[in-house]
Amino acid sequence: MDAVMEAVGLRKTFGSGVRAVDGVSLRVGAGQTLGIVGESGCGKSTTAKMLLRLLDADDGTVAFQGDNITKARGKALRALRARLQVVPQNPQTSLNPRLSIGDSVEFNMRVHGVAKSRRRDRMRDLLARVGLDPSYASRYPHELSGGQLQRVAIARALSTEPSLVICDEPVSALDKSVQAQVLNLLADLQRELNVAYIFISHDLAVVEHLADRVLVMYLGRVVEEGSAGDLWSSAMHPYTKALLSATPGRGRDRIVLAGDLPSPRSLPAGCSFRTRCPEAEASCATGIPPLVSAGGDPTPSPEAHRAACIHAGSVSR
Amino acid sequence: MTALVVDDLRTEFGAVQAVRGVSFEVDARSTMTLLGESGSGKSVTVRSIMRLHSGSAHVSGTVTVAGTDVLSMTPKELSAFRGRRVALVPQDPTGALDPLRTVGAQLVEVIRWHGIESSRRAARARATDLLARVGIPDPARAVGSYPHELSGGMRQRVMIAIAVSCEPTVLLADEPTTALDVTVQAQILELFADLQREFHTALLLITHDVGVAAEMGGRLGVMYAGRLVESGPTATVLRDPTHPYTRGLLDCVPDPHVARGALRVIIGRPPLPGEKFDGCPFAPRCPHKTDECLAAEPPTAALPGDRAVACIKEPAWTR
Repeated sequence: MDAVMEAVGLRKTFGSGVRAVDGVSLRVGAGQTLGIVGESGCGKSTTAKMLLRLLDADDGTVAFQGDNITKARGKALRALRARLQVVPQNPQTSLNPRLSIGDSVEFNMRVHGVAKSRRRDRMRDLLARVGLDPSYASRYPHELSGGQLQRVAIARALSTEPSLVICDEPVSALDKSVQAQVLNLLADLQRELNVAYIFISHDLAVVEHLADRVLVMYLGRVVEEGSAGDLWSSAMHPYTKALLSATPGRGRDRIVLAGDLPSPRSLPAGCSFRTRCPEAEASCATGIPPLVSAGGDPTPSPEAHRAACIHAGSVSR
Repeated sequence: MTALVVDDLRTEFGAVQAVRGVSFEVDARSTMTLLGESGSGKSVTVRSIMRLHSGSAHVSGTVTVAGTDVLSMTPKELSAFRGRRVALVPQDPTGALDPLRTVGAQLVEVIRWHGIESSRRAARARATDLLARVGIPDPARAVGSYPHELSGGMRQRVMIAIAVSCEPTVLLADEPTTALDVTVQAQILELFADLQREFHTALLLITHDVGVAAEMGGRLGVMYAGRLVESGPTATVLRDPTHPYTRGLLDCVPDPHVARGALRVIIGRPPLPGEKFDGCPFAPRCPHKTDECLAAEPPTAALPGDRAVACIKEPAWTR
């Protein structure tokens, strides 16, 4: 399967030594969904910004449709962004309050050089596809509900026929009854348009439902990755297990983690999860555990289920 | 003894009826959860219980805490009542704490204001003890910390310490874990249960999250358009919901076992505050509606098992 986007060894350290992202690699196939899940401060949004080239990585590479885009600038970067779009978390602030809905969607196409004659028809078609009556084109953001605005943000992102849309917490600001509508819409559009998603969320249930493959991040690193089914049925990393158990109402025995996230300025030596880990041992302090595949396979496929825990390799499936 | 009685509570802001006849009771040591989406009236209910609305609000009905009528209290009575008999844990602890004063000073203020301890020294000792009881590590040091020096989870623990500092009869918690990470949320929900056992406090919890409601047990009230559309013991309501809205909320929880794009949804959106309806406010979104539903708003009917529902089709529609 061809990768739409592949990132290797991304790192980002901010001003006073905050290691926001520390060696993240990921891959998303054409028409597939990669979910990234983690709590605040885990580096998921910083990773997204590096993938979108809104932030420059300190180290590592980002390849998009086979081209290395890590250093892309100017015209090349602009051309790239037509194919690489974003749906942000809060539609209230991401849409210009002084542009009508139709103008917001058309503006994105204008920036990316879609011919004027095509824009209007395409805008109307997109509004219909995301489930909004074309009469909404002349309305303004304040006249729409949160769920409707997020549909507009999705229509805008799709207006340039992207190969990949990065969705950063796209349903977190919505009511639960509306959240399910938007998740279904994203899934339907993916089937119709063969667009790939990187779907970022703090909500493991949402990510598991929508994603083919899931990365679990903790303090700037990927601690576990695998198919949604792998994580659901046989999570290997103690942090993933705690996340699964902390999602309320799942009927799993709750694993309550002790304490808080350590400061990203002064991470613990060795495994950064060990200060909260119910399974920690003395040896966890000696080195940062690499991602190893289930069963300890030394040459895992890109689709392998892997975790960064000293106990992970010994877990049999 | 019943700690909190709310009977036919109605709160109006001009023409906007935010709460339209809500009734429930919470016993000492027990939990009642109000579940609802934005605009359902759950936060207004809590604010009405504490009399926190400005003069533009019109509140009617009855609210009693440990037998004392709240809605007829004078301002002086209210200031002795708030924080002492009823305390609030807000959604966002960062906005609720004074950034310029240490958490210890903010605890001491409440303890001395209500006369729990009169000397500064004794109040400070109690503050340190409370911080320890809500699970803050190194409380002797934390008492001198400013809010920005603490994490979000720790700040919410401080708010809870302030709320339980005077051992209130009723603890109101308005989305207390919504701003927190899920692993911290689990810690805070556990803390509420511990404190209830310790202080015999009645807890009224507000959430939009079905999962949180399930965790807390006790009784559940599902709010929609300013009314309780369904209520009863949490476990039975969630296992066997009778109102189509409750069932819809349970069905739309994302699940890895449901095919992608095939989540069951509730069509449309929650009504806006002040929106007018014909008949049942949920009818425009209801898969079971008939002409009868549009004729008149359904009354609340009692069901076996200490349950109630406001749906004319119940229980027929489930069969």
